[in-house]
Amino acid sequence: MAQRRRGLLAVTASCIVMLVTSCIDLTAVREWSKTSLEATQYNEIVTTYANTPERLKRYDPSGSWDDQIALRKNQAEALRQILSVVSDYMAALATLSADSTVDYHKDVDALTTAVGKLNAGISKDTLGAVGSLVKAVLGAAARAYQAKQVVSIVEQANAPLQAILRGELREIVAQDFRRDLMIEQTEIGGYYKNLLRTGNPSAAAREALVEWKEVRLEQNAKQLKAVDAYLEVLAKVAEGHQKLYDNRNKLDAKTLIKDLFSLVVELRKQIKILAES
Amino acid sequence: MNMALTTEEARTIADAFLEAAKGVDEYLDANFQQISRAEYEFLNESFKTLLRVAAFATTVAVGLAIDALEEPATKLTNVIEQTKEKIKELQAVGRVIRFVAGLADLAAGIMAKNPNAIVASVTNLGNLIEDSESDIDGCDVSVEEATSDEELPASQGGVV
Repeated sequence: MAQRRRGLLAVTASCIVMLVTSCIDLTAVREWSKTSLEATQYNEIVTTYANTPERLKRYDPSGSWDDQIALRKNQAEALRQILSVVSDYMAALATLSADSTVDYHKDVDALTTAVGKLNAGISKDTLGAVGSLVKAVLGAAARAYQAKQVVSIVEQANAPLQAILRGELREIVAQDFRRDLMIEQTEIGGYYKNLLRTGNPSAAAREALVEWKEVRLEQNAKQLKAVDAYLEVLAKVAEGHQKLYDNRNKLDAKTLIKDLFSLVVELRKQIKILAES
Repeated sequence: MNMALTTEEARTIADAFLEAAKGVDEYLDANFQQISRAEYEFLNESFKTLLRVAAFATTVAVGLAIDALEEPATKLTNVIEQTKEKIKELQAVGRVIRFVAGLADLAAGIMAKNPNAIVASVTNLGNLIEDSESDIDGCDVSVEEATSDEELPASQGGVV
């Protein structure tokens, strides 16, 4: 009879372990949100935009740039705040999908120690097995709770996040930041051509001017590359979140996991470009 | 009549002035040798003015676009606040205390070597995690006897 009970206990334990292992795996969600967080933090393009009037002043000192400099400083602050909202959201999502959000190990260890002290005739091996089982069950229950919360915030956040990433923020980067750099590019060209045409430079001065023009245009080209990379970042983050939203009730679906990890790889490529620019 | 400039209009103006500046630049490249010094100075100054206006219109467009971003950014901020609360809830000491209370049942079941009691305790623990959001008040204290909405006293407004 006792043997039969032990067998039944072992079957029950196996069933619970199966329940644990069938819990939702949020690894892909966590990796994607962590990478998105890192990517959106590369917001040097905002500083580039804010400083454009100061750089333009170099080529056109007669213009009244001071108002523009002040205005853009305020705008840059507002844009950084909006981008930090996106980053904060990604950080919150990463935390909520992390393995270590809740750790019940200490509580379970304390309890099994207390039960052991009751002298109830339970062997150390049994007590150890019970402790491990309880830790696994609590971990699984906590992960189920976390998955439920992830679904809830993804549902609420998708509309405003898409409005930001695919709406005006994208247009600011795609149209305004790009145009701003095109204005500077045109200004650089005109400035150096004017010096070469009207300054009557020596051969050496001419060489130096041509070289400086190249240096300035190269800086400008790098900044334009950063604009393209950031646009890709915005697009990939928006795409990833839309996929999360569309699959919110099957967060561990194989296709979703595959898609999120592909987006992580794409985001890493853009992060490299942004870090180099 | 509303004469306020829209974001798109500001962008159109900025694009048009940049294109005009590029046009003057190309003209100067092609005709520098043929035009007088005065004409060159005039066109070069116009080139710079056109770029200044393009930069100014860009600043206007960005300002208007930032205004449009305010609403979704506020909504997203609210979601972030809720998320932080949920993370806090998940980590709340009160929740762990309740789990420990549940674990005592489980331990009793194991001590009695009663598989049905173990399964019931485990299920109960799972439910505790799922449901505890609604059972814990703002101070992470368990709500022992909840008062229904109907039983709550009517509010009394105004300054006495």
